Amino acid sequence: MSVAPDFAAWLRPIVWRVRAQTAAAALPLVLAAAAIAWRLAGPGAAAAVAALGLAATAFLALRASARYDQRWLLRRLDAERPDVEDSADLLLAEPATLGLLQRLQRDRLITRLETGPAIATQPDWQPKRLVPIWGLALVTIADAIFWPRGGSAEVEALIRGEADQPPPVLVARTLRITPPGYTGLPARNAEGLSAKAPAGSTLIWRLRFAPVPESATLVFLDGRRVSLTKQNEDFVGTARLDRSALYRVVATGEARQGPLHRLDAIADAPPVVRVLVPATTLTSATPGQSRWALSFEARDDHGVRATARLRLIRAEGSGENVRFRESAMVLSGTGSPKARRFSVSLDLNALGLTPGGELVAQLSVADNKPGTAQTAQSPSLILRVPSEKMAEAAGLEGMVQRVMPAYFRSQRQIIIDIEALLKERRRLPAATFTARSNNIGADQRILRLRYGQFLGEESEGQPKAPTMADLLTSDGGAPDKVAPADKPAPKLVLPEGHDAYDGHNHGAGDRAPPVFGSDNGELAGYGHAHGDSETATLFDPETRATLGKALDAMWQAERSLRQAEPAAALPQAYAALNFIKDVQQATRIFLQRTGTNLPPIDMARRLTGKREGIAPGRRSLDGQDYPDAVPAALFASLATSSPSEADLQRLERWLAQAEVADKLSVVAAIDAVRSDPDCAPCRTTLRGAIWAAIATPPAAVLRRPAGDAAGRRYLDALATR
Amino acid sequence: MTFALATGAILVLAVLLGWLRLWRWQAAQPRGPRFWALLALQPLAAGLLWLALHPPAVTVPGSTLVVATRGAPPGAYDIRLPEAPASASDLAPDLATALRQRPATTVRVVGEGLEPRDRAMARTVSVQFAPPPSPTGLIRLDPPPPVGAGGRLQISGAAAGIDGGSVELLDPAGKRAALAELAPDGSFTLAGQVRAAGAADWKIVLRDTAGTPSDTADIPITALESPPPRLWVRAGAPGPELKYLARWAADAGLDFGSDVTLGGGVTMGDSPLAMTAATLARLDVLVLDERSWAGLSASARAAVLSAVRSGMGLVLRTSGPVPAPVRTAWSTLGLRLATGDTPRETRLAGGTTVQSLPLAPLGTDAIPWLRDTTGRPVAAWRSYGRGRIGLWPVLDSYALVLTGKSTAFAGLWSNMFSAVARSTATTRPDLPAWGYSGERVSICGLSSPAQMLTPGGTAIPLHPDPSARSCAGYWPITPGWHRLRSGDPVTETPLRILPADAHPNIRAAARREATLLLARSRPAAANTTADRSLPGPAWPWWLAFVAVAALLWWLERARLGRSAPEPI
Repeated sequence: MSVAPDFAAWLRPIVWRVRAQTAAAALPLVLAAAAIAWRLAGPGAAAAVAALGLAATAFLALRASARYDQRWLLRRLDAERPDVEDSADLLLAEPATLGLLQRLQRDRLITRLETGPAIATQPDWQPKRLVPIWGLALVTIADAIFWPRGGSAEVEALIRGEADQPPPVLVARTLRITPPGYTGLPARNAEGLSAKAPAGSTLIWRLRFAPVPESATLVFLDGRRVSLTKQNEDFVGTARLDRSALYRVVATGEARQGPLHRLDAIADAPPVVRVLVPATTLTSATPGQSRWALSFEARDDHGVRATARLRLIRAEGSGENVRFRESAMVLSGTGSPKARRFSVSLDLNALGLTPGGELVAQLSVADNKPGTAQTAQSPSLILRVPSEKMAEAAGLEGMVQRVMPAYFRSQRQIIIDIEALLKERRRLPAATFTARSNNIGADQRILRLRYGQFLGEESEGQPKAPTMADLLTSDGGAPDKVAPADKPAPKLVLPEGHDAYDGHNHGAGDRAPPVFGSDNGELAGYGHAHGDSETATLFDPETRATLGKALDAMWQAERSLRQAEPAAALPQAYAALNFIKDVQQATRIFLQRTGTNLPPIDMARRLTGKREGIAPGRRSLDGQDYPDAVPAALFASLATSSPSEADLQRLERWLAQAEVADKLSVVAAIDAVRSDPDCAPCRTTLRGAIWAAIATPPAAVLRRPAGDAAGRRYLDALATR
Repeated sequence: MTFALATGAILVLAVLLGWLRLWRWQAAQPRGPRFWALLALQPLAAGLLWLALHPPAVTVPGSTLVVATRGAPPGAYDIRLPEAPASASDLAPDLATALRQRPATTVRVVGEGLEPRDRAMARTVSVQFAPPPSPTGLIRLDPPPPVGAGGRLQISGAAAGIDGGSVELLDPAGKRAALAELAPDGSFTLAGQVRAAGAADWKIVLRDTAGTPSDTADIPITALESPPPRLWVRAGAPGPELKYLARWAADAGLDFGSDVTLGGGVTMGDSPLAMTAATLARLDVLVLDERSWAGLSASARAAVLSAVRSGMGLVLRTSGPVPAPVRTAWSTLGLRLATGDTPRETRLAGGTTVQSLPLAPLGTDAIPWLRDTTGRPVAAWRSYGRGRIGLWPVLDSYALVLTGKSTAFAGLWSNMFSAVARSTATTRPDLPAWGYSGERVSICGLSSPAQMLTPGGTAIPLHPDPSARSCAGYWPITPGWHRLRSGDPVTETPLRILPADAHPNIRAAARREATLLLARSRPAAANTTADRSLPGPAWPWWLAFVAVAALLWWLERARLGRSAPEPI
């Protein structure tokens, strides 16, 4: 009696093979579905989809393997093994229920199955089905992972099937400039997006783009940003113009950077005061004068305040015993705000001015800028009441030298004189005109000589002895720049035997002018260092240079005046005035320490004529560094090659500390080159901006190149001729 | 010996050798008619070869070729050059091709004139040219001399067809650097300050009397750099000139030294320079004044002059009256002062005035260094061996600094030292100031390997010809800044190529001038119809030579008439 074989052991690999096949076909689908879920809804959804998918796969696999049971096995045995002789069913039957023949057959079968080979039936792997499924799934997974991730709007657009949005383009723009109220200027619209406007103006941008972007911002090159708010179709933004700046409009989704726009803030100018009456700063009161009329004109670019303060200082007494009393009064002006006139007639008796006293008046005006009004002062006007003593000496004029400080005409007064002369030109006979022009020229000369002394210039002729305080003429305007009377005036330290203003005449006042080539000519030329501007160290070098320019201009003015051409002199006189103002506004006076630092005299050697041990001293002359080396080098390299970012950064560092008149244009040019380093016109613009910004270096020596051998032979042959 | 003669001699030698070989080879054979024919054909073949190499000249009847050039009016022409407006006549790529195709003795040029390309060929024929009216606008621009950073750029040129008017010079920033009125003859000179080394585009604008621009021209300027010279000043006495010279030299980065003799063996300044060949060889410029010259010993003077002969620059400066012996010594060097010690007030360009001792009329070998406003030379230099000697009779150039014109002061001294200083050790390629797109540029003084970088960055090798001053030709196509790379170590020199249509009036005027010059140097009126001999065609001679050579070969090789060879 033999036992039926273990069918379950035979079936197990087949069942598992079927399950694996099902799983292999379903798994890629599950993974793909999970990937799409991850892309669309995140990892949570992906996990859920994967779990569901795996459950379904398990169910399907179980169902697919359920077909492969014992019955299927017997059918396969019948089909595959001829030695089973279609009797496989016997194996499953209960032996007791079988007849003898059946039992015998069953035993034979069992024996054969034990010895013979097992069935070969295994369901095949089906690559034709699996490969496309896996391929499709992998493509789907890759898509889900790598599909470009855009903003939600893009995805929406994709889903809606819309075409790609074109980048937004600025289609309409308005820049409204509202100047500060005190200027009285009307609000206006700028042409384009660049504008020049008074500092403090309110700027309102209204920009329209097509298509409408998400947001738009004004990005300033100095780092500020003004975000624009959306109103209907337009973007609106507001900013206050405090300083000049460059900016560009940036909208979301713009294809490339837009152009730079430039805002120039025009600073408010301080007011300017001019004295109309009296004509000179120093007036002598006529006997019996009881009133002193003063009239001023104040001009400003936007407006002068209606009231001004007149400061009055009354000086009484003489000699050491002088007392000052200060008072003030408020004047109200007439005329338009831009040019107001302030007039007053002072009652001398009410002010208590006594003979020998002086009255100094100074008008202080302010412009109408709210908050930080700018003020300006008129020159001090002096009314002198002659003292009784001087009146007593009235009959002795010509015998008594009046002691009066030398008040020179200031450059401003010279200009006023010239302008007055030009106005009267038609009415004046030619001779008078020439004479008056010449007189103004003489004044100009005196002024020039006086300023010239501060440069260590030679004095021509004998100007009137000035005092140091006279440097402080009324040209400066602002009293804070003028040394107050209680501070000591700077003094020139002069060697013994020299007077402050005697030029080269000391000791040889009546000597004949040196003739070139004569035995003492050179000595006279080089003996004293007054003519040397480098030893005139009262001022620092820049101030001296400016003063030198002023002198030049004065000289030109004088020449024209002397030639009876005051019209030609006027621009020069103005130029001189500007330079003098620059000098007076120079922040400090540069007093070089020039004390003697001589070695002690060796008395043993003195007057012996011995020259041993006299060695030349070390010359220490260091060249000034050329401050613009960085931009000059970049200028050269930009001609043929694009700059590197490091070059541009060096240029920016230089620009930050350089004194450049138009910095913004250099900044704009740098920005253009940075955004497109290969743009040749941008490089040309940058080179132009650099050229305008740098100073000329000291002229270098350009040596000639070496010639060729033939040239050298030729020159050698010439030399031995 | 000419090439024709040399080939003739070689051919005669070859005939003789051929005969010898024939004689010996045929020695065993009976000498039949074949032998004599071979012998006779040798010289015939040689003669034909010689004629093929040097074909005899043929005379062509004198004829005139009418050539249309740029701006030719429409009409019938024999040949049209590429610049001429399109018409029915034959197009030739250049005049040389045209003359090869249609030999002629005279060329009648119609239009503005011949391009530079055609001028060399035009020199071989007679030229007839009826010039068109002179162009109006800017008609001449002289390339400025080399200038360095901080130097003064001087540009002169001329305009025509404009009454009055002015020219202005715009710097690379587009700002006006100089303004000048046109002289009555239309010429002008403008000057600007160069602020940085490197290539830069300047521009000249011509304005009429109303101020409207009527012509503009780009002027590319390359400011060069060179190693600073080593400079030594020996002064006979301290003075302001020395002081400001030292200041400028220090600021401009020159290697400056000076010693001043105070008398009695005492000197000040740097430790005194020993005037020996070794010390002077280290200097590039030596500045002496009349006192320090007089103080030099004879051997020191000889050392100085020998140093100049080997390349050093020497500046003779006056600081006062010049004693007679010094005058004589200086005039033997070729630089003479006028008699008298009275300094003269000299006005210089730019409105500056200096005092100077007058120069005697210059010799032919002296070159003016500085001229006053009237054009009279104020200072001059001359070559002396490989070096140069200059005379600087200006007494008070320091006054320029004192009057705030230190730029003018630096300009004067920089110009002077640039002219006389010892040459640098390296050569500088000799480029034109600018070129035009499509026109040949000749670059000389090159050292191979040399290459040109176009604005696009393409490197084009140049092939300098060592037998012709190391020159190379370059045909630029793209306008812009090209860079020449040459030398050892490699240096880059920019070259500006202007667009093909740049400077229309200037180039039209140049074409007109050059063609007129050709027409005047080869007047065509006399021999318009004269015969002219040209090299004849060579091909019939070649054909005959090949036929004779073939016959020779056949006669030598053919078995016809020859006895059968003996069996071996």
